[in-house]
Amino acid sequence: MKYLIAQIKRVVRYLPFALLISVLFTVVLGLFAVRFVGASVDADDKQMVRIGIVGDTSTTFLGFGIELIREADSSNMMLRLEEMSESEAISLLDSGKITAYIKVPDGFIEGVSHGDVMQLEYVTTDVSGGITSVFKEEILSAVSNMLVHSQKGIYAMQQLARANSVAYGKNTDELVLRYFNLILKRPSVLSLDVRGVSDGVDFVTYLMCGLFVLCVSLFGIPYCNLYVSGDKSIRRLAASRGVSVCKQTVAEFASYLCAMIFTLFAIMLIIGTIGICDLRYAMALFASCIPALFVVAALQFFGFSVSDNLANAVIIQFFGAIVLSYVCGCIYPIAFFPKAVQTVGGVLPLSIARESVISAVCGDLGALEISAPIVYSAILVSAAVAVNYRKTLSDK
Amino acid sequence: MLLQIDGICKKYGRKNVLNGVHVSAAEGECVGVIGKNGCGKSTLLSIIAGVCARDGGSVLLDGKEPKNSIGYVPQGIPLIPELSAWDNLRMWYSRDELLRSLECGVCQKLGINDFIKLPVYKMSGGMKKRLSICCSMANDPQLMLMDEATAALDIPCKRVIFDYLTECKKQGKIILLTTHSVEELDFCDRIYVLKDGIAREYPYNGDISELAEHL
Repeated sequence: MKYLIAQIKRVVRYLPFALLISVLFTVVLGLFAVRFVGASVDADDKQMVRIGIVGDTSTTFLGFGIELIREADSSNMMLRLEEMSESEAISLLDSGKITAYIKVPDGFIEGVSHGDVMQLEYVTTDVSGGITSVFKEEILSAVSNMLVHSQKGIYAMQQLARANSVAYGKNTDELVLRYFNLILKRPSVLSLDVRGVSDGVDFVTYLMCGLFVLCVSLFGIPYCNLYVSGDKSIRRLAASRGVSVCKQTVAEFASYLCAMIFTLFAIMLIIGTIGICDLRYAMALFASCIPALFVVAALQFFGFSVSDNLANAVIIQFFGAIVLSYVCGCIYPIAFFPKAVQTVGGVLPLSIARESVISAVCGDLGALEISAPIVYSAILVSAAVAVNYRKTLSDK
Repeated sequence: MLLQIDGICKKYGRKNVLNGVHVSAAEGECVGVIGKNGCGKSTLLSIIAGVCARDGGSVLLDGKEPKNSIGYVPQGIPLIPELSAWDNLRMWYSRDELLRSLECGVCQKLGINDFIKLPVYKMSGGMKKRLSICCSMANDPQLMLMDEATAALDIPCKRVIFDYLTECKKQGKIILLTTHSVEELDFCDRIYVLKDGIAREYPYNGDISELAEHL
């Protein structure tokens, strides 16, 4: 107990310096995250295909058709149809703000209805292929199908009306089209749930959780000076006084864990106070991230144990954090890696930490998400005990 | 009181560091163990102190295992640099024991009062060594194990430590120390030379060159 108290006293004296370094790391990573996420969102926006619709779209028929094409883009993320004048379309096309525009000639619908051969004009600057060429084919195919099948439907209704001696005219056509619209807009009998590559959260949230784990992984660097020493004499003295290497290691880990908890608490308090997020949310998030903090702290502590000197320790902490974060999907979704990497990375400590943080953010932190990091921590601390035992007894 | 170390063996991997070491020391005696670097002196003291397990042999103090009767001063500085002398001592002493020691015990004799509140990283080598001895002697042990206790210390500091050890001898404590220092050899009542894992008593007469030939 006295040994534990001494370790805690030691950490308390060192805390201001370590906290300052940790805050600096957080600021740097935070700025990186904002820039990186912002760039990703912008990139997403740039991938959106915008197509102009030029011409008289006031008829129910054409309006219905445009809506049909919009519905055809099930994600609503890649294709946007916008009605505009021709001059506007040309200007936007030249500036690259739209990919193409479809020109609907005057009287197109009436002409098609009367059997005239009329064409929609698809104007684009992209002739080399790529995604817009694919969409061009899709749009044209959708438009054709829409015209052909809806015409078939209208003819069928006209025949039905004649067969039943019911008056049929232009207004009836419009009624039929509205009816088709209703049918096609009916909710599907199947609901499609697409699990993405981000463990059920959106990409930005996934990335923020991953970077959080990376950031916390770097908090071990300022503590290298405290926990890495080539002098084994204090361990030997303590062992001779009945404080075994195991007790010493556990006491040191406990003090380090306290330091990490306080550091994270302080940083979340700062984040909540300056308004980056709500203070109560920040504190709740801090509390639910403690299991993840266990495993990250244990990993860092194991790193201290295997290091013999300060330079070695800093290198292990820094590169260990970066490499493990990458392999464990903290920087890039793990689902994008080859299967073998996913298998290995999925069982590494930072993966466990990341999943625990994601569960915490989603508010479904269960028994498994709490116990798995703690069990993993126990394994890492046991490994640290073994290393320290070997070091203490070595003759060098 | 008699310290009896019989047949101590220790192996690290394939290397036999100690091959049946026999050492004895009587009450009030200071026994020195000398040998080349890496011959196993520190290992021997670690085994006696109970820090590492032995592969064979026995350590008996008055016919019993010396569990709480040992004060072990390891090589190096067994202190926490960020803490003060007081905080380092509090790891091994209760508050009352420490106050008593500062008043009239080992801490007072080694002059710890002069720097009791100073953090270790600000202390000189001599201060650190004196503080280390105080930490190791917290339980007023009957057997004192000192691994190169006065290495790299200045003469006044050595003098303080030798004065303390002299007083310990008068109190009937047994001192076993490893050394490379001539002053410590002169202080010892008997010398053992540790070579090839075996300890042999050597009748030291002050002639270093003759002793060197036996190492």
